[in-house]
Amino acid sequence: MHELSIAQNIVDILHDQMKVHNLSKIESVSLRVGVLRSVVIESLSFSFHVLTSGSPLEGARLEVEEVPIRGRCLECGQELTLKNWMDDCPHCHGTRVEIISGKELDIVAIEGD
Amino acid sequence: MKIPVVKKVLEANDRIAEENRRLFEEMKVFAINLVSGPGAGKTSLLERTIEGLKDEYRFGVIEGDIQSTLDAERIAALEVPVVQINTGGACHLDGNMIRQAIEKLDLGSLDILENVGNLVCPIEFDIGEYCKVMLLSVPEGDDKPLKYPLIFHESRLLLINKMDLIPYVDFNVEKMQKESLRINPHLEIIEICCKTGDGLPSWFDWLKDKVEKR
Repeated sequence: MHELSIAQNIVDILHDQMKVHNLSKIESVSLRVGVLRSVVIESLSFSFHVLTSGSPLEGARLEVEEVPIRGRCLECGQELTLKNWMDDCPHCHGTRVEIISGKELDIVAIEGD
Repeated sequence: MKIPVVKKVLEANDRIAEENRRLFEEMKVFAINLVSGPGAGKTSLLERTIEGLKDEYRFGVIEGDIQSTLDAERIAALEVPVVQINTGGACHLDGNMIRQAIEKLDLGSLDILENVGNLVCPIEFDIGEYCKVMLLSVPEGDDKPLKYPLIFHESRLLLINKMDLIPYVDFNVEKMQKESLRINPHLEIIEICCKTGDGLPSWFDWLKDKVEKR
């Protein structure tokens, strides 16, 4: 249920941004969410919908781009995109791979009038 | 009109967590975020740790639970300052809850922030700790690294608890350790048993080493 807290944070940021950019309506919000965040997008959208009903944000869409996991092999130093946590390094077959990204949780753009 | 903005969704929380971290540093407080699923033995670990190290450190404890003051009562019985946070349904502690709690707490030199029992949500919210220590008990099963990788990735130390139950449960310690290290090659692992006391001296040594090196 951390999606509800995350949605509340998005709502707070959007209210601020509406003031900053003098917007009366927001149509969509672009998010980048790292795969490692274990955010369930359906739950996030549902929570966002519940929190925004009856407010100036009602009807705003969440557009989510999932960011894949990137790692660095601690044996050969190559950077790689991982399908999952347990992947070996495809270059040297090393098993010690350090995760370097995939934890993003950012708002990157908003669309509104 | 499309407006590019780059904002961390949890920046409000991260900012408060950073303030907590700065406060801990200024007051020379070593704070750890203790995370696990429900029933892994976090409060028992705290009791044993306080009993074992109370002559060396002044302890302070923050207990996070959805409801009840059961855990805080157990810690208060050891005459250690404790604040209970009831999250009222929220499945994790966040930076603001800790900030409010530290205003009420007589901070010690070693403070333990016991998070809500949950392997997912507490990992998303920075609370200003020096590091996360994860506790996993063997009856929970050895499949946890595969099911909940992020908590293994974000923790500095993994304590495997209830090792006395190994003869009675199907828990492959070697496989679990190997998978944990695949997720986090820097993870340190100590096997313990809060009930018998086995392994606790290694945990105490780990803590002392980290407090000294901070």
